Amino acid sequence: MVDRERFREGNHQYFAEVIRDYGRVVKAVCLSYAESEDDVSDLIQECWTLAYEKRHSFRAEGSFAAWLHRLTRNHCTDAYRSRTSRRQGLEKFAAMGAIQDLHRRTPSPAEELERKESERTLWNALDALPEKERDAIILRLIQRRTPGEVAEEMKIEKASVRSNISRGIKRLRGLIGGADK
Amino acid sequence: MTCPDVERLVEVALGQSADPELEAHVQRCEDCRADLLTIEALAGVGGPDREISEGLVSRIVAGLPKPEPRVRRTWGGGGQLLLTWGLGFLTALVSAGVTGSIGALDPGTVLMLATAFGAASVLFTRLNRRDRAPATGEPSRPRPD
Repeated sequence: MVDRERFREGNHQYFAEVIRDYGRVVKAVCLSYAESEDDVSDLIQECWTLAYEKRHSFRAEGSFAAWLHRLTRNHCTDAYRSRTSRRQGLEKFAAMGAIQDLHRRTPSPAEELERKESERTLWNALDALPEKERDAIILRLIQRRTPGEVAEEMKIEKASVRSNISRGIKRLRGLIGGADK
Repeated sequence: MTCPDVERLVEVALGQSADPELEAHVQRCEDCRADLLTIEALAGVGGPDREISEGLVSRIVAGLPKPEPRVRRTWGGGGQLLLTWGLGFLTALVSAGVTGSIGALDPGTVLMLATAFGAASVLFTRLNRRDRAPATGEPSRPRPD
């Protein structure tokens, strides 16, 4: 669990501990939005730097994983949008035959694209869940915390962790099913 | 078997437990199967390859901006406090003398106002005094022996 005061102080050594402890959630989101391996590392670094710069906006009431997830999602979505619009611009230009040699991006395998697309759908669905359900799912299934640790971080009972996960899963099924249609 | 608790499905999806009876139930129960598939999709997103390497942690930390020094307000030493208060007190007395208030006001009131002005000067100085203390992330300077 993150010590809010130490985190907000900005101690680099402590921040490294936080990165090791909560790295999964950031990497999981970045992998769904990055185009290549190098891109993943850059995106992860950008997200953590942003988390460092915005560390004072982390409030004690919410869970750290949820705060980090929100920040990472926002950053990755912005980066993805700007990259997509940049590429669309390039495609238009290339179609005119002007800079075809600049447009050298190797397309990813179809399966990889499909995986990323489904993961993005999943992240969107997760975002639509009520806060407690989303936090419980992120902590238990993505951060791989034990039910006890989730309860401690969310300051709720273990039984509530289970009911939040259960309700969240049912709701996600509906959301993902709806997205497929 | 009745439908299991969600935590048991989570444990199976995360590979933390194997339960043949539960797996058989999931094959028969459509609701539990849909739950398990959703849980597995989420567990896949946070899979084992999602750990961050030590090299990347070092790279991230090396690229972080330095923590800004913490601003700490101090009162200063006793001598400084007394001097500030005395100057404030004198300023108030001189002002009262110049404006002719000393003759017009009761001496007790003048003394009280001057004392209050001295105290206000101390408070004002304290609010404007900011000593920079190194934040915990910064390396401290070695002390001379």
